Amino acid sequence: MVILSGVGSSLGVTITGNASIGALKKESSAFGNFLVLSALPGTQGLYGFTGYFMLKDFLVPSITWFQAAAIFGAGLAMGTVGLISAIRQGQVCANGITAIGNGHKVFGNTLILAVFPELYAIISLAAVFLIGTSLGA
Amino acid sequence: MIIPMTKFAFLVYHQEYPNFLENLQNMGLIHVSEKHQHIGEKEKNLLDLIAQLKGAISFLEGKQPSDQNNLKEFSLDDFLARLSVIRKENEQLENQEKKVEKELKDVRPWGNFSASDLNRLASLGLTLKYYSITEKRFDPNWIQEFPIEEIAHIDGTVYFVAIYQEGDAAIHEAIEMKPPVASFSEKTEELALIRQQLDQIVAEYSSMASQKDLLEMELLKAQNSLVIQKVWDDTLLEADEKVMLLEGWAPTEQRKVIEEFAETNGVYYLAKEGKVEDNPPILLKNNRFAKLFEPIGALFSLPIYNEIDLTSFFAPFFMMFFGFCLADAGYGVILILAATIFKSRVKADLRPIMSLIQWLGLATIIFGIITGTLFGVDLLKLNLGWASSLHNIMLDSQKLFRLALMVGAVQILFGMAIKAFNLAKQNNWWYAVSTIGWFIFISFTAACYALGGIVPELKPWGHLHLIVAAVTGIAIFFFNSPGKNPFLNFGLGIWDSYNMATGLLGDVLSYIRLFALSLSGAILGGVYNSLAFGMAPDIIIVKQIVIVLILVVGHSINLFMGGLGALVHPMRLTFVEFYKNANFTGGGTLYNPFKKNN
Repeated sequence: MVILSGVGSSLGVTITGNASIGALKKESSAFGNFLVLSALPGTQGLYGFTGYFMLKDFLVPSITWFQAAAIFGAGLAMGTVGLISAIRQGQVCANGITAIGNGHKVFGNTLILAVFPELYAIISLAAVFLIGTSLGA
Repeated sequence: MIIPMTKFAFLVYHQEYPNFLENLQNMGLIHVSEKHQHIGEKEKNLLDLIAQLKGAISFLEGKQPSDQNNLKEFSLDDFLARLSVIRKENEQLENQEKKVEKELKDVRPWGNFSASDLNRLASLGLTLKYYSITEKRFDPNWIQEFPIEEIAHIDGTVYFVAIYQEGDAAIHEAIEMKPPVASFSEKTEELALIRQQLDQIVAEYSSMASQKDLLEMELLKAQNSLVIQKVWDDTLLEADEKVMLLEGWAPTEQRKVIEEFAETNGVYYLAKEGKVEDNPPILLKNNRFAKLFEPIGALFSLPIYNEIDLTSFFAPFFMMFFGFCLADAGYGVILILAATIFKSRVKADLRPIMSLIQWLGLATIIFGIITGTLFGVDLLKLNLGWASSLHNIMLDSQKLFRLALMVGAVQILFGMAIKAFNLAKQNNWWYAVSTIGWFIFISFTAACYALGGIVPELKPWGHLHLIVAAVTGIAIFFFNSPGKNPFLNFGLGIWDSYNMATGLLGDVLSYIRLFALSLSGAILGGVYNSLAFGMAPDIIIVKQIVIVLILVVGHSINLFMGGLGALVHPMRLTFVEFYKNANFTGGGTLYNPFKKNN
């Protein structure tokens, strides 16, 4: 959960960071826009961390097989979705950054389009929360 | 709020036009309507000049100005040409300096010699070969065996020369080196000359740096000329170029001032109220609090003329979301203190940013108390003594999760309400009926699920709920496109329902990020606290220093990263979820009146 989503976010923000450096050479005044778009893929790592935090209380020696399997499933779901959605979101944002660097006014459009990959990471986090709630019950 | 605009058209006799433009620029109220599609020659030249001046000023910024008074008359063209020449010379000399330094290093072992001596040897059929070898591998017997002479021992290496005639055996164990291009003293002199020239250039830079103020004045003049040139390019020439027609916009509240100006200048004018089809420029007017958030709205887009300005509506939510994401009372105090200290030291145009930071700091303190976090310490688990009653308002992570979704739902519903008003403002109230229907249906359904257990009449899908659903259903399915065929309306209503069901779920879930950011920030703060107290060695003074160091560095990193996330994600929620549900169109042009730069 933490590894895969963290790796995904670090790759995502690297992609956007690289695009921002290139775009700054052409359009240095748009750094504010680049900063916002560059930071967006970073949330999947936080979701993974938050997901771990929601389930950490079950990580005790007396954990049952059922709980362990549920936590493993939650970790796999959150981690895999976080990894791929962060990388893809980074690619969307990087394209938007490049377009802004070339003079196109697409900040708002990029923000909207970058929402779509992240939505699934949010749904995974919600699923982790629900798994944690049902284990608690 | 968007200030109403009036469109003006001025008709001016061509000979009076330059004077008219100067007076218009001094008045500084008219936003000139852009007409030209391409940049003219004069504009291009001015843009080039401005770019050159900015480049020169930025370059001379880092140079120490000389104290000498430059009594020569300042000529801008000569100055810029000379600066360009000496910058190129400087670059060439720096490259040469590097090359000569390397050559000096290469010739250093061979010391001083005369080229004429080498020529005399060559005329006798003798050649010098230059060798180097490590001291360990150098065989002193070679001096007897071969016609060699040791020249230098440097850093464990022996440098020697061998005099060769054709047919002589080579010394294979040593490394043959390239003959020195010049003697050590010649290269030293060459390097000194280059450095002298570089010093002269640095002195000339200093002299030029003392004239930076003149450059800045020229830049201002060029920028003002560019503004005037753009207005000339936007002017229409009528009646065989004898009459100049200039169109522009000004706030309606300034209409009298402009009419007086036109009468004073003897200029014929027309005025009409702005309409959205004419795309008037946008000038926002908000209260002191909302005004601080205008730069955030401008990052995305200004509203169009007939839209509601959303700044004062998103401002309180943005502040709350920032506080929710950063959620640490200690960090909030730091933000307020830093903003208060810097507010008196920064330029006037940055003071609103400091005020904004103060408000965001206040929200951070409030949410820090609600989440029970102070510099990463979980206050929920602490005995707070006399302040223990604060525990009653603190929320655990489960409640925070629900709170994040709730504030999201509230903002989305609020956005829908604004959408209804927007539609009514842009068209009429019939266009808002469907949106009002959705608003009432969703709000009532949420109320039924929340209160159905307490108030029996509000049982989910009970009688009352079904009645409300039916009434709002009529609004949703038959009033979504007024004036159209009812069957088309019904079809559009089904499509609308699908979009609402899928879109609403995704939009509300998006607000989970507030909870995620808040929680992760608090955990990281706690981790830094554990590191500081856990890793500090048990030595008096050293322990305290290490603790303070780790706490300062760790919390600084957490504040910076958390602050960045707290700024970016509320922006994203505002521009995507809120603006989408409020039916924000955007694309307005900023009101930028034709006036002098000071």
